Amino acid sequence: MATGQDKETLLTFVAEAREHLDGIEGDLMTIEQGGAEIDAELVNRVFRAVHTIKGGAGFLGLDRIKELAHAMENVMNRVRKQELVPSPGIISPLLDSADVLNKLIDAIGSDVEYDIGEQLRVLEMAAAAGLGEKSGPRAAGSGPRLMVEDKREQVPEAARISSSELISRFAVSELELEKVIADGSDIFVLEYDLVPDLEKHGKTLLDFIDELNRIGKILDSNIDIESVGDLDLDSGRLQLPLSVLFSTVLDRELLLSFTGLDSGKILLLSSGEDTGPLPAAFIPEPLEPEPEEINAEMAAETVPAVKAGDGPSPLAKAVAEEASLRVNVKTLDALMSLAGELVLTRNQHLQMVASSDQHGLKLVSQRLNMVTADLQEAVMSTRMQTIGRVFNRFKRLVHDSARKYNKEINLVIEGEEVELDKSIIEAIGDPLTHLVRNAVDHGIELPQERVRAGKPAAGTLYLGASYEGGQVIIIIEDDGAGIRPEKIRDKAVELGLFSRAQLDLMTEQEIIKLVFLPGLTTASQVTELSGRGVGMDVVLSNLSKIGGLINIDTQVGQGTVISIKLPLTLAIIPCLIVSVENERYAIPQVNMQEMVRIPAAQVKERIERIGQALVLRFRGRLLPLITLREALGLDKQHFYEDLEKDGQYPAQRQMIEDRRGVVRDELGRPIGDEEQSLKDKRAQGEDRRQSPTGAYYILVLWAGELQYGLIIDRVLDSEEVVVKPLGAHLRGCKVYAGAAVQGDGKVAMILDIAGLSSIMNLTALPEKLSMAVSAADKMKKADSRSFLLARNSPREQLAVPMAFVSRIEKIDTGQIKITGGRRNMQYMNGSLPLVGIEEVANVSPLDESSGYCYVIVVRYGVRDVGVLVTRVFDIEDVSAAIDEFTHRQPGIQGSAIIRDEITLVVDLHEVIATILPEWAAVSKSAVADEKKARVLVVEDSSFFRKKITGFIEEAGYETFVARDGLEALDILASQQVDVVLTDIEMPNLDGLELARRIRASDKFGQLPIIAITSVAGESAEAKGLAAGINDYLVKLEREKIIEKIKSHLSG
Amino acid sequence: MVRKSESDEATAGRSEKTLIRAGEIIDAARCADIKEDYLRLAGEAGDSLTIDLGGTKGIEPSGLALLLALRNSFVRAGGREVELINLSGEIMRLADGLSLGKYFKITR
Repeated sequence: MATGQDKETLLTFVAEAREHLDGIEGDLMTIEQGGAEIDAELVNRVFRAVHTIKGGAGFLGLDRIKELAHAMENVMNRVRKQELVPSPGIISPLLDSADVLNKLIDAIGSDVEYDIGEQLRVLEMAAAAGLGEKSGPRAAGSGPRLMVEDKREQVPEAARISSSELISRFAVSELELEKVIADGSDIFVLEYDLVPDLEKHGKTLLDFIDELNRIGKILDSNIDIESVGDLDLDSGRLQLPLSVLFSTVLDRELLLSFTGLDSGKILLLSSGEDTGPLPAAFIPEPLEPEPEEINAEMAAETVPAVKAGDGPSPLAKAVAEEASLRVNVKTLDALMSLAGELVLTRNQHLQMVASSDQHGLKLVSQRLNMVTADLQEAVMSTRMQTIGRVFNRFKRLVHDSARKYNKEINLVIEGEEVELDKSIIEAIGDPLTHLVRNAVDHGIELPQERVRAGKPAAGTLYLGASYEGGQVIIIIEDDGAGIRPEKIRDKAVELGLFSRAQLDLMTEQEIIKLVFLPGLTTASQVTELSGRGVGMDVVLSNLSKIGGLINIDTQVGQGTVISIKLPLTLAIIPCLIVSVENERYAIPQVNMQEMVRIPAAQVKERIERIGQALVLRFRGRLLPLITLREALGLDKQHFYEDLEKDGQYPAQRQMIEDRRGVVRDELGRPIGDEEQSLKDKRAQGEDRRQSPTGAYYILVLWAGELQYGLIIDRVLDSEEVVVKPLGAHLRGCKVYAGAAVQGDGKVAMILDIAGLSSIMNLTALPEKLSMAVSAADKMKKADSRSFLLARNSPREQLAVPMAFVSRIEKIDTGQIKITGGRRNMQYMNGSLPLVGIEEVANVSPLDESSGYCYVIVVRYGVRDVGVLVTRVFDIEDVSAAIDEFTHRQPGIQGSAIIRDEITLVVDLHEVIATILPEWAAVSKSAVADEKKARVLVVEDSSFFRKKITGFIEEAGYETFVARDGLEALDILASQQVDVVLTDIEMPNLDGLELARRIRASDKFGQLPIIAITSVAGESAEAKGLAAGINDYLVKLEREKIIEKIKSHLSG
Repeated sequence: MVRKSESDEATAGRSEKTLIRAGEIIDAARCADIKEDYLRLAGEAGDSLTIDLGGTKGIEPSGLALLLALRNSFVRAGGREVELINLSGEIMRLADGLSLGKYFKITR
């Protein structure tokens, strides 16, 4: 059984060593925290762990591991004897050595060489530290002398007693026994029958002796000489019973594995690390309480290895590299009995099929269903591992980093028992490590900073896991500084990812989410810990790969909470089965948010086309849409649902799709190849057919941070599908995550939701889109306006605020008359003065060549005025800001980008006032007679403020302006005001609250308040009335506003 | 294979002892020969029987069982001891490990 000879043994050793090392870290840190008050149990546990590793390594000829473990053991031994206080100076080298041990163990079988010389030296110094100090609790005499005494004391009294009874059979001195026990070895009696035991393995006696000497020491051996018999016996039945008194550092389990003996043949006499008394008498049975369990444990170890998932990443290596898995014996038993059940059910099934017993078949299939479900659960449970495995690694990480950065951090771990599939446990190692590092490095502040901020000096890092609706939620929460959005904003600008203007439109939450973009790391200083450029984007993509979702919630100064949602397993996942073109696809439910059906009648309103992209108006957002058919490049077929026959039938008519004719030139010749151009048109054209049930089914999906809608044909079912990996030929296909075989034998491809969005180039677009929408929503509340779009020439687009427009008339140019040098026309039994925008502003003149034009009828004061334009073509809600500088000129208020075109916004009142100055005077004089009333205009938008004060002053009133409710109250307190005109949505103090405060005031409680807003509607109005607002008007309804002011003043 | 004390160095001066030469490997195949030799020589052996392990490179479990059985037979028949001589380093290791000194007189 030399190195490499017995792979099984090596694997057992590696698995066990890892387990021991896993535990060591946490224990060492607890020991360090305990300081001089030593928890003997804990110290012993670490000692034993190192000790076992040493023994196994020694046996397998892994010299470096043995040496290092031995050096660690020396230090631990001195801690155990209370000769060393486990200060950080002692524990740190041990922790480092544990790391090196891990590396050495990882490197077994590879050619990687590690130099452990330095580590050995450090450990030696640590071990020697106590000797020099003489400060150990028991240090009385000189160091070495003390050690000898200690050693003697260390020998358990009981060991000497027991030797009389048990060991008397062997020729071994007490002194030798004591020495062995003091070295930390266990003493076993091994029972062999050499002839069968050795010949079975083809070993010679010499092999046997050498082997034993390698893993321990043969103290003595007895051959049962009587049983051997003499030569008179038939030589064919030779017996050679041998009992060996054996000392070794291996634990019982390893010893069983190495010797190949049955567990009943190995008897533990004393345990080197047990300080308790030895059993008084030799009990010829193993000391472990349940031999059955030991056997079972052995059996469990030889369970066929479960293959690990994808290639492990370096950080998760320690967890990931396991090729074998320990399985609880109970689980194995359960599996076995379920397998039995399955066979039974199969037999029943065969019977029922043979006898064509329909009822019986039903029962059997029910039973099969149950058994399968149980079996599935049981098998899954063998793959389940506790998340504690991952969490516990962070104890060390946090401990080390905290010390390195002089931070004080309490790590609180909860939910270690939560179980996840092995492959997921392996995959989350990396992302979690990064997040924890972030929290330690960037999140939690230095103690002095924390104290200054009024927080306890020690920060708290909480790691928790819990189940929630078939998923696992992992929370990483720190009470640190939080993420400052401005930092992210600056970085995003610096990297050229977004412009300031774009960022200004985003909510803080949206900005925080930008950390998931590649290259954005918030640390202004790159540290070894986390600021290495690879960052949250990798975290996000790694989590997305396993169907995880991540959310960040941060409060500056308060801390950050990161929550991660993970599926329990990747092997069987709940999916929605949908179909497109009669092909089935499975969509993982973890990616699904909801399902939307857009009835045929609403398709036009709710689904829009922006450029080439389809979007859905959905909960106040524009949701980008992907048509699955297009994404997969499927041919368009049309199916008609025959509701009577309950089935789908392909449409027979092929040519109906395109009714448009061929494009022809002026002479009537078709342009290009007729056939081809027809085809092209058809290919590009929108399908104008609607099936009788022409509703859209849209699945609202999450792919990481990205949300989009997927248009599918039909929703079939919701199913738990077993994921089958794709064949090598499909590996490169990003849209599929796997395949699922369904009940009827058909295959449904499992869609990769993230892959689908990336091949459709959805990654960048939706960010902007949704931003634009949310910005648009914001603007809509405050500043969105309708504009009438018009042109005098094709090159120049004009916009007229709809608020001023009463009517639009299309007229024959012949109707335009010139009277007294002014254009006018007959209109509604009167004369309508006509003005052209070009008369005031430098814009293209009216084009009368087509023989007709449009008149925009505007109410001006008490009369109507017509504004002439060549063409009016649409009305558009515009939320874009109006640039009041670049194109400002008389009659033109400014410019805005509307429909991707620079558009001049016409100031109608200025145009009219310039052309018809006397009308403006009349309009003013209409109110001039009245007492010059004072109107307080409260409005946060400068655009509206200017417009409103403009027409109120034009109407002959005096105005005061305030930018919000607070300013308004100040003005009210100092000025005489007759009417308040206020916006509702405003910063600091909004319109409703302003109204309430005005009403509550003694001095100006009776003031008429007119609300001017874009948020109209009954409920808004009711709220307004309740707050004390007299009237609710829509912004820029000039005439109505003036009328109301008038009526309030006269009233 | 079995000879009365001849000119063998190791046995010089021990002519009264009976010597069995064990051979290179003591395994099941050799057992029959050794047994045969012993049965032939036992009568002449007196109170001490010597087994020469010079040249013996390996002992298999069945071989050892035979040696022990031989020893038992010899002692039961009134013999005092069985001596093993000319042990190579390897065989010595084996003898130490199995504490064969308890059953044989061992001379290097």
